[in-house]
Amino acid sequence: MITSEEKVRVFTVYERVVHWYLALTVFLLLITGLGMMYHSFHFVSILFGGMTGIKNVHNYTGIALIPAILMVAGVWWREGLFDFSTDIEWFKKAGGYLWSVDDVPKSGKFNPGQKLYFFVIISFGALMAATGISMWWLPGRSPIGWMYTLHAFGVVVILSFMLIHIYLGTIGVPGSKDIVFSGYVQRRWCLHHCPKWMQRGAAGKAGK
Amino acid sequence: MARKIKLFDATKCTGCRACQLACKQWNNLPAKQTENRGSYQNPEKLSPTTWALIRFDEVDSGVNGVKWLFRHEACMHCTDAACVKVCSTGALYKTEYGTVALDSGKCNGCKECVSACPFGIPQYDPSTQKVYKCDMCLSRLDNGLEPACVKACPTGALRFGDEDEIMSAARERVAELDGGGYLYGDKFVGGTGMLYILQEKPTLYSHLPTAPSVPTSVIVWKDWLKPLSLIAPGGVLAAAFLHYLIKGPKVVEESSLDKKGDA
Repeated sequence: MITSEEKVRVFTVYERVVHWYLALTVFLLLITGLGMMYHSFHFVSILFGGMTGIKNVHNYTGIALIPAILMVAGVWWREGLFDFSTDIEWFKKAGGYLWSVDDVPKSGKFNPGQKLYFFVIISFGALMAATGISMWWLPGRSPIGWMYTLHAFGVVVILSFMLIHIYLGTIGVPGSKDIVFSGYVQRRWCLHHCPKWMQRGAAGKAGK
Repeated sequence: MARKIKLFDATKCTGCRACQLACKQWNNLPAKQTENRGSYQNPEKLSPTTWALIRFDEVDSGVNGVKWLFRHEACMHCTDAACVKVCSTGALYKTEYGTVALDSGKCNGCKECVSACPFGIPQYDPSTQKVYKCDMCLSRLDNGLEPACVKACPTGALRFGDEDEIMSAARERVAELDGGGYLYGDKFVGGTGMLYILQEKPTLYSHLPTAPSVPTSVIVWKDWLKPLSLIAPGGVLAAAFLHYLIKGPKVVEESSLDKKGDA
């Protein structure tokens, strides 16, 4: 008999710290970056001591992004991310998130949408770090111009995906936010969202 | 106010560098030890403390034999100024004279203008973390004076005035030269605020782009991606809100507890 009180640990302390390290780094990069890109957002620079301050905070926070990306990759790449067997079918049904679907392919610890988000964050995070460092450290000559363009493209992609992530991690999927705060969710929540992971017994081990 | 432009007539230039010196003097810029690199060229190129200089080129012009060419290099004050388009702080701006000025106090040294400028004009100084360039002597223009380089030019190779006046003078001069002069600057980046009358084809001058333009990377970035950086996240937020209203949050039903729990 399963009680609704029974909890499963999904994320360890380390995983939660890594999640928030990346999240806060990206948040700081976004507000300082957008604060520079749009002249109408320049008022944000008051918080950072002016336009030179906001640039320096942005650049050095960018350095902090590199270990964040590596740690996130190191933590989550193991979680069945490279098993793509049912992913296309899942995406064709939008994982049951957009319209009613009877049999959505069962997910492991992360569903294909979350896996896609992981790959987007890792690849575009690397793109932002590489283009950002080029803009900062290399002399600004003509091919460097494309670094700014790619950097701006990265903003469009990352910000869009991040907002979907925040929506689905909060009000879009009630209960999910507990994973990144306490690390625990109700067992039945886990059985619903990550059935294959629960079947493997991985959750049981993590719960100890 | 009518747009002000500067004209450099290479056929009248003797390479005396009075313009170069006047620029340093008016703008309080330090001089540098000269260096013999096998040519008259000194300093070697524009720098954070050299905003205007004479370029010396020795070229084989073909039928005319080897020629010694002089070119007054400084900011071109483009109509479609890529540097103003990319400037993150608003330090670079268009003035009422149509020139491109630079407020160093606002510059945060992001260097975006350095890669955007098709002429390689803005110069970044790592020690001050700022960019510097010719501002057509804005402080002089504001007081009804011509730029220091124009004032100093002893041969009349540099002229300054209202766009209409300078343009027609330039066209007249080119006609007068009867094939011995090439007008440069009226056909790209919306027209430059500095016109050249060159005595040889532009291709023979070093560091002079033959078809300068606002870089494609800048257009993709500022005209497409910059608005998209707000439109795309706005669209995502709107879609999420509609999803919440229409489809509703993905709630784990109580009834699914027993069914799946037993499995």
